[in-house]
Formats: sequence, C-alpha cells, structure tokens
Amino acid sequence: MKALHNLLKGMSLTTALFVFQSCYGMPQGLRNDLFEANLKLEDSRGNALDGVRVSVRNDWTSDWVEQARSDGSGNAGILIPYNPQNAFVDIRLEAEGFATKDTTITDMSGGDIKIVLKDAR
Amino acid sequence: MGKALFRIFRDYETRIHELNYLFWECTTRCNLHCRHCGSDCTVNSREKDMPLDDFLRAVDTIPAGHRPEGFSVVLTGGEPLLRPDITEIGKALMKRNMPWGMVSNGYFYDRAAQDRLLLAGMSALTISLDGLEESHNWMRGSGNSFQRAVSAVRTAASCNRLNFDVVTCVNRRNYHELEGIRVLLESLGVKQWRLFTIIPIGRAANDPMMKLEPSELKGLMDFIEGCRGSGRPMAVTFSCEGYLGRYDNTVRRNRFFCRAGINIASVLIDGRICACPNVDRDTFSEGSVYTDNFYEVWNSGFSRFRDRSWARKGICAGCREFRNCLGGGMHNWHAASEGPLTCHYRDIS
Repeated sequence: MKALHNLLKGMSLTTALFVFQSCYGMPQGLRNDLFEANLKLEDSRGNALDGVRVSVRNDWTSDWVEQARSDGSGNAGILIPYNPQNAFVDIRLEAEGFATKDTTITDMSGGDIKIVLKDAR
Repeated sequence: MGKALFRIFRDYETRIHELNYLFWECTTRCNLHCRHCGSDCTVNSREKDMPLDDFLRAVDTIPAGHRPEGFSVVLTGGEPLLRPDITEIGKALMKRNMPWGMVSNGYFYDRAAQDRLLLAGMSALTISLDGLEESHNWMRGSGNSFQRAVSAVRTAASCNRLNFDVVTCVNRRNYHELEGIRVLLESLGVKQWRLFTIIPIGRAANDPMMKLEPSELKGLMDFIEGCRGSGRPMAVTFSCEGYLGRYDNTVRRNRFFCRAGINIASVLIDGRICACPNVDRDTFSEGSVYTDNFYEVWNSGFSRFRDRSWARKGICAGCREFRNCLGGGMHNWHAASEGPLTCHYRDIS
C-alpha cells in the first residue's frame, strides 16, 4: 500500500503542490540552511564590548540588516538562513568610539568567534 | 490521474494524516476593513495577540521525527505584520528548523520589512490583490491599499528566496477585470496567481456583490482554463474550495481534496485547535493548546474531518458525485446548515 501511495504521490506531485490549492494559505515554505554562531566582541585591550551593533549582509539584496547587539560580556548571537552555494556570511560591526569593521565569517562550524574592534581614529 | 485512483490516494492520505501545514492565527488585528473578511477582523480586536511562547509550547509537542518533508507554519490573521515581534517569531521557528511564511495584505510590506523577514527565515509569502485600483480599494476599505499592495507584490516577486504567490478573491465587482489583473501581475513578475471565490461567512455573508452568479463562476473556470493552456509564464490556479465536475482536473494541478484536518491544522487566536482558520471554529474545534497536548489532539481527534460520511445530507444526500466531493471544503459547513453553504459543482452544472 505504501508503494502505491508513493507512486500516486509522484504521479500527482501532491506532496509538493497541495498547499498551492489551500484557499486560505500560502505556498509551501522552503527549507533554509541555517548558520548559528556566537560572536565574542572585544577591544584591542581584551575588554568585552557592550552594545556593539551586529549587521548581516543580506546575500540576495546586499543590504545590511541589524541582527543583534552584544551584551555586557561582549556576546552577540546570530542565527540566519544562508545559501550553501555561497557558504560565507558578511557581517558589519558598529559601536561608538570604534572603527566600523566589515568582516566575513568563513568558519561555518558554529561556536564562538572572537572579533576585535579597533579604536576610532 | 483517474478519479478512482485518486480516491484510493485520498483515502490513504486520510488514514495516515501527516501534519504538513500548520496555521497560526497570531493576531486578529488588521489595519484594513475588507468586505469579504471571514474573520471579521478589526483594527482593535477583542482578542489579544497570542503570546509567542504559548504557540511554541504547542508546536514543541510535535516530535521532530514526525514532521514530514515540507512541513510549514503559516502566520495568518488579521495582518501578521502588525505583530511587533514578527522577526522573533520567525527566528524561533527557524531555530526549530520549521519553514514558515505568511499571508499578508501587503500594506506594510516593503524592502526593509522583506530583508528583516528573510533573515528571520521567512521562505513563503502570499499577498492579496483583489482587483484593479478602484475595485481593490473598495474591497479593502482603504483608499491607498492598492498602491501599497502592488508595491509589495513587486518587491516580493523580485526575490528569488521566496515561494511567493498572489491571491485574488473573485467577486461580482472584479470579475470583469480578470484579464487586466493577469496582465498587471505578469508585468510585476509574479509567477503564481491563485484565485478563489467567497464562501458566505463572516462579513461577506450578507453582501450580494461577493458571490458570483453561476454563469460568472463558469466564466471564471473558463478564464483559468484558458490561462493554464496558454503557455504563459505565470501559473494560474483555482483554490481548493470544492469539487468542480468537468473543471476539477483542468483549473488546478490536482483533483479536489480538502485536506483540512488531514494535513492541515491551526492554532487559533484564543488557543483553540482547528483545521483551516476559516472552518467554523465553534463547531469543529478539537480542543485547546491551553488545556490539551496539541500533537495528541492531532493524532486522536479530527474524526469529523477524516470521515466525511456525516456530510451526506441536504443537497449532498443524493448527489452522484459525493464520493469525489465528500461535501466540498470543510469551511463550507456550518453548525446551523443542513448542507454545504455553497456548491460550485451544482452552480457550474
């Protein structure tokens, strides 16, 4: 019976398409790959930086979108969908008194990533 | 696929009833006042928005291994973009690896909102466009809602990270504009257009302009059939409202199959568990996320959705197409009615 079920599904493409018929709903959602990491933000003397604005570059529009602010321990978590074909994440870090820093995260294994901000000149 | 084979498939799908599609009626507040609103939404709703944590407690009862490929959460309302925590909602769902999207009137949907929502994991979107400018604004009760909706459609259509479609409620006023709407949507880059008609519930129940005459309904079917055979880039479909006789397999990708309670559930604004939010909630709700385990209700409840033999009454009692139709969409049945509120098959025939 299961084989017949799969055959019929394949023939009708129902699993993929039935939601298009939903009178009240939306098309089926696409599953995104996710990238999750914790940034550890410090100044050049090793002090944790509070309130750093972390923006992520939207990889299909190229705009910067704020994702997080660091806490008193310098931690800022980001969780975003990303394109595995372009497996890197561009981020921008902004804080008063510090130079704005653009960087690219290439380590997609997650976990803590330490980033140092330089004083504004 | 033949009707007989499709019935076997439908019966098997009903027996295994995988939860594929979960609505969350996250607010009943709405910035517009649409003539056809099935929920009677208002700017200041009597119901408070359901807290995100309450919804998450419900979805967390679904074991990860029990979510089939393609499971999606649909934020609906009301207007979901009125929720100030919408990106937090999206991120919480994304963290659970649950694809999500929403149905919106598009009024507040611009490029900045889209960027925020995409980064919060939104992957599907439907925007309503109910006619050309005058008709849409009349329908939506707002003088500039058309321009806002068109702008939203243009923005969403240009994004290749969204499974996006436009939905149009066809009524007596916009019926003659269908070709104009088609041309407009194609010019905006829309790839999918879904049309539906009004079931006389909510605010639409007493509005004579909302329900098509039988000849117009047939004209709508002919229009969709013509679009589907034209080889144009935009896919045009009729929604899943009911069985359509000879059109059943030509205006949709599949034959009629109401999946409410079979693959579709909802968590309503007050916590009630139901199927599609436009199903009569007072009659067909199956419990509450505040008193019941959502997934247990899904598995053990919904018997009236999965065995439709009770619907063989009223005009359906002697209908020779009942085995293909099963009484039409569940939203067509209300407590007080002795039969479905509408029957497209009868109207077309």
